[in-house]
Amino acid sequence: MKPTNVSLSQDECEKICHALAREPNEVEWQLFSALWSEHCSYKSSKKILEQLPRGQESVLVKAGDGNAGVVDVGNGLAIVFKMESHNHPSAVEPFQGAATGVGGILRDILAMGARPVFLMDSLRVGNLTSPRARNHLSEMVKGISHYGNCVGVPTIGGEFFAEDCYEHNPLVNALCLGVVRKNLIQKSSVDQVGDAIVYVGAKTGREGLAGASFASQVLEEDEKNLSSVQRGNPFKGKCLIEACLEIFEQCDVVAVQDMGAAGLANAVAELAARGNQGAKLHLNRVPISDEKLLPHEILLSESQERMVFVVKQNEVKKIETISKRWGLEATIVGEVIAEDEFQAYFEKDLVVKLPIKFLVKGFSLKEKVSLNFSPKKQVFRQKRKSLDCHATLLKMLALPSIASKRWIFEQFDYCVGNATKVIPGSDAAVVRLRLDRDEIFLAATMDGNGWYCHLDPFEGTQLLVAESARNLCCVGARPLAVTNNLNFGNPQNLDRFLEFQESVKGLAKACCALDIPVISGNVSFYNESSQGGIFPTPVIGMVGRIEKEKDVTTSGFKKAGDSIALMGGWGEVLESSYCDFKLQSLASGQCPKVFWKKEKAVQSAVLEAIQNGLIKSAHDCAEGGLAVALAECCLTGEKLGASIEIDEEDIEAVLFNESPSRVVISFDPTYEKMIEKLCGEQNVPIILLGEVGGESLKVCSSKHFFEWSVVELSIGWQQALPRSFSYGEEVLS
Amino acid sequence: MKIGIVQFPGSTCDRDVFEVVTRELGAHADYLWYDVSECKNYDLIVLPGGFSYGDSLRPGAIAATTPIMSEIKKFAEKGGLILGICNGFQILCECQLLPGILRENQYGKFICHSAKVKVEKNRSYFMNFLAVGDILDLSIAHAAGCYWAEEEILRDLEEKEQIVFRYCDALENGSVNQIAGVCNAKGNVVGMMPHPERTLGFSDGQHFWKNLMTQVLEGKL
Repeated sequence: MKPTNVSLSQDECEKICHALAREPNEVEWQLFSALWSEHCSYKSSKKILEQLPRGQESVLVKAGDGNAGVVDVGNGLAIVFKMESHNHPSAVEPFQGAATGVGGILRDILAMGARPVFLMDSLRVGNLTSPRARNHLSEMVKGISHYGNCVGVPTIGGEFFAEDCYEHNPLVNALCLGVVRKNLIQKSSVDQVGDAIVYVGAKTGREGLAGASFASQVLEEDEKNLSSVQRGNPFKGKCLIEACLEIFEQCDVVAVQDMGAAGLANAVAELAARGNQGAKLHLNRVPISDEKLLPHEILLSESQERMVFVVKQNEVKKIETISKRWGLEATIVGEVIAEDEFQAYFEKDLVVKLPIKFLVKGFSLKEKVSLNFSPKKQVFRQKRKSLDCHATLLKMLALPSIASKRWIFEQFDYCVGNATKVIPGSDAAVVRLRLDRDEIFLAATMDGNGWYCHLDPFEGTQLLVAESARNLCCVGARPLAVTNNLNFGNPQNLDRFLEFQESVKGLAKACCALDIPVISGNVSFYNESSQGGIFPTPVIGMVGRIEKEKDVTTSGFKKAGDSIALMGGWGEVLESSYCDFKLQSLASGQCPKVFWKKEKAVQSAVLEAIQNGLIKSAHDCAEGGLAVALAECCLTGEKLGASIEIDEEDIEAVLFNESPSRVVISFDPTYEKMIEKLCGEQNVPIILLGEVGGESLKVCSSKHFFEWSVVELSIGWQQALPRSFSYGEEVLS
Repeated sequence: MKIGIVQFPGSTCDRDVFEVVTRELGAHADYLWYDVSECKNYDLIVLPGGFSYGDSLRPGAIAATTPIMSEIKKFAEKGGLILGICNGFQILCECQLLPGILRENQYGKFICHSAKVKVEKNRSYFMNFLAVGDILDLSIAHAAGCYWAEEEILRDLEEKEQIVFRYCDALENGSVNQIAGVCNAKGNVVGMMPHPERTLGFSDGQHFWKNLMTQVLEGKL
């Protein structure tokens, strides 16, 4: 009898019964329901994602071939990184949702054999005037702090946005990067019949039951979803990391997989199916914390801090010894079998007997939709009011999305590991990786912009990728590879699906233009509730390499008397900027467009100038345009002012337009000619803006003069986040 | 120079201390697992930071009851040098090798930033490579860094010059009298909340270890 809580379509049920030539039993129905959920199967996104560039030889494990992609960085070392979302659990229980999001991504990296080196987080909640949004943010930050700090992996950066559309559907996307010696990269497919399937980690309990199905539905205000939220134990998580790394070093491991979505069943079925073999499990051998667990619950529980190893029988003893030392369970729960079957025994009864490939891959994939997408610009257009530039800059800096994120990142241990070269708050975070003798420096950034992707997911996604790469160039890094987390609405709604399709098209175009492979990723659909849905919100994580330590560059102005210039020109469209969206409440408009030839020229000019030691600071112009970029250069460095001359008619547009491909740099005046020459060679427009110095930011043109003291700029920028919370407390008390 | 670095399940700064003293400064270091009952022949024992036993019960409470801590007590009695950092400081207080306790930050949240720390006139000959009044720029990262002791003990600590470090500014942790580090009456056991092993971006961290090791090596102790 098909249980009522099974979330399979009528077609899928028929397909299953037809393929099996019988009706599945209750346990089997539950397995199909979980493994065929959107969350596990990627059935709506897989065909669309095929167009992404997966890279050449330097990508050792390509997207989709393992738990996370692996890139060769030379010296016998490789890096592994990936992003994952925990949006649904975080909407219901933001503390545990965010904490287990961190735990989950750590274990994906660990499953490749790598030691996690750093974490980053991208967070989106509703407007901070709402108590729900404030609670979401403070609990998420606490959750990440709880897990990340305790496992001793630094959280070195990320991004944060507060917009109304995330009020009921907050987003938590976590990125982790790890490092592994090439010979220790782990596989995720079984090899030989008779090999032992070994369970290592915490006990299996009732937490996170049906989590995969829960994440594959539109959110409903319903308390019962709480049981679908996993609970994390970072102490066990830390012990599991150390135990697994010891096992990789000391034992002959055939394959390993994290027990994530759909728990033990999914992990074992995937391991076996990838190796073209079957698996047999004895559910009574699984260490459980709740005697009353039913067979399907043991199979599908999403209890945290658990891994499955596949090893030769004679290696099991060693694994047990290491696990015991770290206080973890280690038990043989099954073995690899020759039949193409997934079998599970419970108290001597065979409770599951399914063709394994069908279980893992039998669902139908959603086809690409061949319809033209019409961006929002055609909806309607409002007349924009002119801006008071002085007040606008102060307002922009005090927007939670632009303001200093210190309130967030100081709750994270961003220094543990003694590897953090550039602390959170610059264009990109920079870490040092130590090899036997050498050191290498990596930069990483996370970027999302729901507003532009709402206007036009194709152009908006390209903007994101361009911005990520530009951020990396600004700290002195050459981009290596991309990961992504695609947060969208219900894919069964044609408009939402088209948004997704357009966004992936944009991602593919951008990555091809920059010749950067996509090595891993995650798709999160169903970010909708009865109160509405989110902007289409792809989030990009990009990692680059800095050739020499001296190339590490930050955004803040360094010294009075240095010259300031803008690479990439004044830009154009002010309409539909983030600034207009936030301060003029525009609901539509035209998304800026990336011209790749120019973008690449600007990036290469910035990087070349940095590598030649010509510039002292570089900062990308993003939300809030040139004005916000200049203010941030004053605020993030030595708290120096600047005098800027702008000889242009439309000062508003010059200050606040958000055209891409632009970077503010500062440099010793003696290098001016060299920098101009370098830009000339690359065909990059460069405009001399003025010089660093004084205690205020001054902007003058023939008709205007604006002055903001650095102190005045810093108040709103520093206080926006803490103030939202103290305001909240007043309201509540 | 032989340094013992104690590891508990949940220690997170053990590898950082190891890297700094071995790779950056060329000393010999061993990890000492919590269940060993041998810690002789070390010039210095370091209890690194982290979340031993997941801060179960109270930070440091479980670690304080492990076999290695009984050995470390004996080592301390014989005058061996012991440095506890962050969670290590909490453990030393929990097993009463140091006076006082570390409570949860007054601010109620984890804090991580750089902090200026002043060296006080103190009786720890083991820290006298630092000049009184020196100001060190170090990393702090903790959820329970609010040092607290009863009035009497505090008075005693001030009188007997057992306060080794004080934060230059009052921090969100609410530490009483801005105390950042203390030593025992004999001066051979020191606990501090800041992390001198975080040397990247904190040049005072490397100076700290370098001078500490020179002093130990030259047999000034």
